[in-house]
Amino acid sequence: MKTKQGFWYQALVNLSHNKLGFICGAFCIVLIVVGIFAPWLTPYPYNEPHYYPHAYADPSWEFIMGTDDLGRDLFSRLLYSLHNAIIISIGATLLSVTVGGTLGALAGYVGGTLDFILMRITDIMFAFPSFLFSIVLVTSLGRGIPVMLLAVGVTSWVGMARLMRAQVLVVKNLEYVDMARVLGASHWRIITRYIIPNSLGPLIVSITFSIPGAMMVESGLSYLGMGVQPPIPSWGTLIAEGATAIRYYQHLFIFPAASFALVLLAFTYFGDALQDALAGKKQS
Amino acid sequence: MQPVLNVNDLATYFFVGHKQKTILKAVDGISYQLNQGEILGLVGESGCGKSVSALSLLRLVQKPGKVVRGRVSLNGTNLLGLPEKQMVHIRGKEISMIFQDPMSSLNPTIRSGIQIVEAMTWHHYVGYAEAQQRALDLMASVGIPDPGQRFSHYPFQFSGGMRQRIMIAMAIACNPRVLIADEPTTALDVTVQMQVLDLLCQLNEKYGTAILLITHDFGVVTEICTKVAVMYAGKIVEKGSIEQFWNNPSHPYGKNLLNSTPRLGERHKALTAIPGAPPSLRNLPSGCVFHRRCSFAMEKCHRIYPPTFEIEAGHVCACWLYEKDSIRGEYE
Repeated sequence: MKTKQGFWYQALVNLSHNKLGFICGAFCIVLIVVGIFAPWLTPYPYNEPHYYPHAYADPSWEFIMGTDDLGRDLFSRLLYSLHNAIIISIGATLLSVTVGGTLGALAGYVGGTLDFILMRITDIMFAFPSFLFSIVLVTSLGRGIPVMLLAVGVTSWVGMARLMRAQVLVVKNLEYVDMARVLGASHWRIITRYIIPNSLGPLIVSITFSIPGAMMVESGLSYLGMGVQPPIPSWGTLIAEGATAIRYYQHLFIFPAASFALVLLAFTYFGDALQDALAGKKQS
Repeated sequence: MQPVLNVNDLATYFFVGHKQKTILKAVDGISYQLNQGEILGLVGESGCGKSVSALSLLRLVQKPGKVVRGRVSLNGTNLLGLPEKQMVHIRGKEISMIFQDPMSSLNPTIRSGIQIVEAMTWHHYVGYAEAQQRALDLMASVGIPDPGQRFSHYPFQFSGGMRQRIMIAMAIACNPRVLIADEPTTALDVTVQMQVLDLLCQLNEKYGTAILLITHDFGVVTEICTKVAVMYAGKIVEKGSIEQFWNNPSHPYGKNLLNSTPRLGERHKALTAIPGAPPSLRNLPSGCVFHRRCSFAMEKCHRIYPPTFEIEAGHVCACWLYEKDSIRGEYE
């Protein structure tokens, strides 16, 4: 019999049976680590030009993904894009989890009028076209990384709030919460020890889906020229620039687009696998 | 001797429907006393208000339910008048409760031993280290083998009977004066039922814990209870000691209940069923709530709810049949 191992261990065991999910998970972790430490890992600074003879250079040992119109190393710029994407997507997700999770849990637990008011606010936010809202925020507040983070996070907390509320509504009526209440647990203890730990599963899955979502929004914005201020690179700008040069310098398009697709796929598959692994926990 | 728990005219109504205008009288003026060391069996059909009455004692009836009147005194303090802050420390410490379904009554994300420890630390009953030691002792005393190892197991690693024991250990961790057991054996196998009942008896004898046992199983009642109260549609229709009730069931409903329960040693006697179904709380009959199913119903029963009549010392019954030969009648 297994001892001392809880649900998360079991979820990990379930996850390890899913090869694709496990590989994607490992890849995601590598991506996050590389993304965070990108400034120390890039072979060249992202904005260092190597003009003639290196502009539009093809991939070589010197520049493994080639260079762009100013002779800047594409690989370094990609790593920097990853850096920005990771910071913005994780930051935005943390923001939406904190705001959405807290509001949702509060609405679900307290109920009544507070629930009504909070849920109407989320309905209003939900009805608002979120991409438009992000564009409005960026154009009015500037194009720095904190603003991007806010622009992406502010629109995505709504889903988190609804999810958390639904979870709390389910958990708060379970018998073990009644048991805690009967044994004299305060509201604070019931929320922190009983309700939140038992509502986290779907939230974590939602987080893994929210990270690629936030990356999409970030690069979508920068594809339209609303992203972080150049020359700071972003996947969206790289892909947009590559698209203009696709007929002559294919590497400028293929590397950013393919790597972006790969990263998004990895996060999405990992999220899927995690969902299955956490659902398996309930069968035991 | 002053009773540990004195419930007097407790009533809990549910306000539902359009503008909360429909009133469901789930518990309607029940009274009982529980002395130290007693086990009171609260018996009745499903939906007659047993569980709601227990939750009312702890002031945990959820909206739209509300305790509308009555008095619940625990050693003289009226619980219904206490501020919520003090009430939190009554729950679990003075009055504790165990539930029907052991499979869903433990938090799946906390190690079972820690759950017992927390039940103590919430009330600052003992310090953390001492609580750990006490949790181990409790696990041993409720019959969990190898508590040292089982302490750090999660609830899903235990069987139903073992979880019930952990729940009992949590409930008695602070040595409460009153333990409410809400159908504690319903979800268990017969052999495990017996063990759990034994455990409750031991607690009762060892610590003098008064137990309010809510059940619809007469087998359980006769096994361990010292007193019985029969509930029907939110009211207590008969109460008395187990011997009085067993030998001389007085209320027609109580009689019918006993006749529908098999007794050991009585062969060749067909079990009878009570005709009809319990009334809906939305549409209670006038007069005595039982008169539609009662074979002794008189004209008076349709009109006026009977007061309680004392048949023998300590054996009371709310039925017009005993109006004449009761020792003492309490008119409302």
